[in-house]
Amino acid sequence: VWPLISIANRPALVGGVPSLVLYLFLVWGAIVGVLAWVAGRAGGDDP
Amino acid sequence: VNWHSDASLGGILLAYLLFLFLVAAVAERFSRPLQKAPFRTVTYVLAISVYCTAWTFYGSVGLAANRGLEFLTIYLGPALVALAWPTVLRKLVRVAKEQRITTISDFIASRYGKSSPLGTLVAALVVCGMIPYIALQLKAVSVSFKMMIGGDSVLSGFDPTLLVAVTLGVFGILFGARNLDFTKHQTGLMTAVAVESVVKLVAFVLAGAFVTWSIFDGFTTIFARAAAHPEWSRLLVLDAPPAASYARWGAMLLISMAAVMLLPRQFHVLVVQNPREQDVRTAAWAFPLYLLVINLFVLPIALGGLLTLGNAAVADSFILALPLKAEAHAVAVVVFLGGFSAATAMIVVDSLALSKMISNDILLPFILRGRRFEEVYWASLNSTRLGILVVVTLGYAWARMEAGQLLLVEMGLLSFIAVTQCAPAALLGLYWRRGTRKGAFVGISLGFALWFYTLILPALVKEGVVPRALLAHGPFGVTWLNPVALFGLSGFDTLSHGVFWSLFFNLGAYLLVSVLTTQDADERSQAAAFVGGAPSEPSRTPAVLSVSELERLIHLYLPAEEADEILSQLLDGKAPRELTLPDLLDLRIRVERVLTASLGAAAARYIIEDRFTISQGEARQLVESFQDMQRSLGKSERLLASVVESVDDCIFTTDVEGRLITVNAAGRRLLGLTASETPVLTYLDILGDGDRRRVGGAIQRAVAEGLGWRGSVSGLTRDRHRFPAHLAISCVFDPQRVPLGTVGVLRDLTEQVATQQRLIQREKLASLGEMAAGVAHEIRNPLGGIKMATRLLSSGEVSGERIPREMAESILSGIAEIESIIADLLDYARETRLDCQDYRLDRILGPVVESAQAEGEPRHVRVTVRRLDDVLSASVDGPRLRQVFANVMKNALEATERRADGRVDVALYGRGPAAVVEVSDNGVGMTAEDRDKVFLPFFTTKPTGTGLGMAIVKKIMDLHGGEIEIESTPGEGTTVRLVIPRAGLAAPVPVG
Repeated sequence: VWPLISIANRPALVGGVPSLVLYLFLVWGAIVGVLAWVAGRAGGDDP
Repeated sequence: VNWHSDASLGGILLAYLLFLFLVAAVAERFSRPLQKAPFRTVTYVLAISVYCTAWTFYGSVGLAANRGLEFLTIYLGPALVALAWPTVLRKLVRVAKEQRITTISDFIASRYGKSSPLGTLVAALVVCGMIPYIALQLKAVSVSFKMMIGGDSVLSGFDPTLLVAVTLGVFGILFGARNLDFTKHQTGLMTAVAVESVVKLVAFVLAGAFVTWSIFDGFTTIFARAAAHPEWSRLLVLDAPPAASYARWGAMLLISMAAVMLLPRQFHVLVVQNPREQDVRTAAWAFPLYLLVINLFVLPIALGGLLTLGNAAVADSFILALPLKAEAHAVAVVVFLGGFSAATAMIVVDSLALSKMISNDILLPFILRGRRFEEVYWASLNSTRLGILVVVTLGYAWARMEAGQLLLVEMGLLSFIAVTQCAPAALLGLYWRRGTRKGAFVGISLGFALWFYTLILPALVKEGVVPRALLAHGPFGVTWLNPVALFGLSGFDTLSHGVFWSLFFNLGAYLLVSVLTTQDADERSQAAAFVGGAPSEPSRTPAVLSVSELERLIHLYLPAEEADEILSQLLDGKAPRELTLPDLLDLRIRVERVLTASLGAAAARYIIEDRFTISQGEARQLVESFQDMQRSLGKSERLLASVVESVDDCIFTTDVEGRLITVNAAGRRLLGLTASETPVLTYLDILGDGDRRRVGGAIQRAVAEGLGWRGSVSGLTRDRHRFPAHLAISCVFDPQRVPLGTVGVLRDLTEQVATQQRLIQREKLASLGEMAAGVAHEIRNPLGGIKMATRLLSSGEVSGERIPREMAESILSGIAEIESIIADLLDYARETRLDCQDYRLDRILGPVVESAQAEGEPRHVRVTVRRLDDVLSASVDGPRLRQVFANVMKNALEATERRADGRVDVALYGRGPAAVVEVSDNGVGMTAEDRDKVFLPFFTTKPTGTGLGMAIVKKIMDLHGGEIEIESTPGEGTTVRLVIPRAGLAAPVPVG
């Protein structure tokens, strides 16, 4: 039902960190990065 | 330092609170530089992070230790919804700023037609939903304080929670509620909240780093040990339902998405205190980043706590228990302050927002209904201030009552779900124009009812307030009404079950009722203002208030010094007298917005619409002066009516189509109408048939152009009797120059015409006598000659042949002369009929002038044309008019022929509705006496001619309706003007 989460939903450690934890934080970080990039591009009109 | 002493810890708390007061006070002092970028934006982003409360600080770790990664949903939801902030939040901010909205209840009330009952409903329900959340914060402060001082303290019975609660209330009053207008930037408060966000982030990261690297050897160790543990390894993946079902994840994501925007404190910081619309873009990435950082160490601390302390039931306090157990007191104090700052920031902002809702949407409607308007401003300000203390005290009471069966997170989630009930009406209201007040009302009511039934009741069961049997068998044994398996929906945990049903009924009812009901004018105009685009139809015209009324309103509801400033801003340098009607409408809308910022949309609308500012005394005065005015109007109206009735002329009024509306008494007599008869006539029906054709069109054209018309007509009575009359019609307009109809005066000229005709008859007889004298005089001369010749012939004294023949010839010539006189006389006396056609007058006059020039040349008379207008045409009998011109020219030539410098001047020009032929000469002229007789037949001052020339001129001119003007001075010359009418007897005249 939730394919996005079940990709990483397995009991394995990746670099010592649980795969699901790593996956969620990476996606989260990516979202922040994209939003910051978009805001920076659109922010040109801000005085 | 003895960290375990409650005195020293109390001192630290006090110092921290003082620090907050200082920060707020300094920020207020330097508010100007702090309101500029980048401070403004940084403060905004950090203030939004008031989202992370004591729940985040303690509860997240507790949730992570019990349910694994589920704690993340509360932060992933906001991070995901932030993706939509650049559009959704921006629109929310723009609308809220335009409408000067201060709370979420005000927002919903305003969206649905500034509805006071809807605002009250939302405010009451949201306040109820938020009290447990505030209780949660106070409880966290209380628990953490007790942990810090340890059980062995002598003064362990001391609980600083109440003190903290009251201090925070005072803080809110000082820096939040100093002014009623919450849309003003609360720099001090926002800066303090932002500083607290920094404190809690630093404290949490410090605690996490301490646990991860000081107690353990880094992330890997913690995760490796947890993964190896048979029970706790399950926390690292998503478990099977019901422990960590996808439904629960979905429900938690959904409610946290709604909560991050609609929770009273979030709405206050995110929307109301937003410094600039553009800052939303920065917040959209910086706020998720803050959440990411503060969550990095949640799982390590939770797992570290489980590995070290081993008991998941006390996991809420792991973050404080771990440093305490490791005897790292400084870390423990920082963590304690972090949790404290998270709690205080939330309490201050939430109590502020809630008190505003209580004041504006719950208390104010009652105050206004009680009509105590003079007290509104202070009552509202004081109730807001008091409201803060009430909210904080209620939270404290709840915290004391709650026996500790619920996890912090469970209490917080109940509040989240409560505020989520506002989401359909608030967020769909921004995009779906069709949503109605009734839909919002029913949806929100049902949502909250289901929230209480499916979530609060089970919580009360857990607390032991309600018997357990309710959850096992349903109320009264009706299983399908079981609060945790409503309508047989089972297989879900309590939370997702409650979220599903409450939102299902809320959204369903909102959509269904909205589709089935219609919006009133207020709702339509507000829907258009919120959703955007042109209003589907013009909203109803609001009442226009005068400037002085608006001034009084502002002074009544705002403090004096502020009122003057706002007034000068609103008037924008214009004098009240210069304001036009649209200006006043605009002013009224802006004044309503100013009041909205302080009193809420519904109350502001209530005050402006119903103009409660008029006291009873003033209202009585107004009514009396209105009655006076009506009385005096009635008096002057009666006076006017009696004047119209007493006039002898027919006075009538018509509508724009010309139908008679009123006719005065004289008019009814004249036209033969009975008093009761309603004449279905037009003004054309009171004209004789001939005149209707002759002047009817001209009158209609003149009236259509807004001009009047006057002229001679023949009137027509009801029984078809014609009478001579003079008609004058004027148009009547309203102040905007829109024609209302006409007023006409028809004057009966029967008697005047009769008198005139008698006069003419007498003149005719008189002139007949003079003419007879003239004829006798003319005939006497040849008769004298005949008589003498006849006498000579009859005497027999003449002889020969020549003389008698000469005598006979003389007699014959005398007879011929007499015959010629008789012929002239007959010609003059014969009845003449004109054969009128349209002629250009210059074409008649031109040839006459030419032949006069030819005739004048041998006599040394110069005939000149001074002016000859070629556009003058008239309906005349051309040959006869030529005869008129010729006669006048002949007289002029004869008058000048004996002068050496004889001169005749001719001109043709227009004068008003007439054409004028002017013939001037510098001849002998005539005396005034002669001038009076010049038109009599056989009157002449010349040695030759019969004296009929000017008489014929007069006759033909009379037949044309023209006039002859003569100016003459003996020895200097004569000027004759022939005035020829061009367009019938009458012409339109401009009126008014």
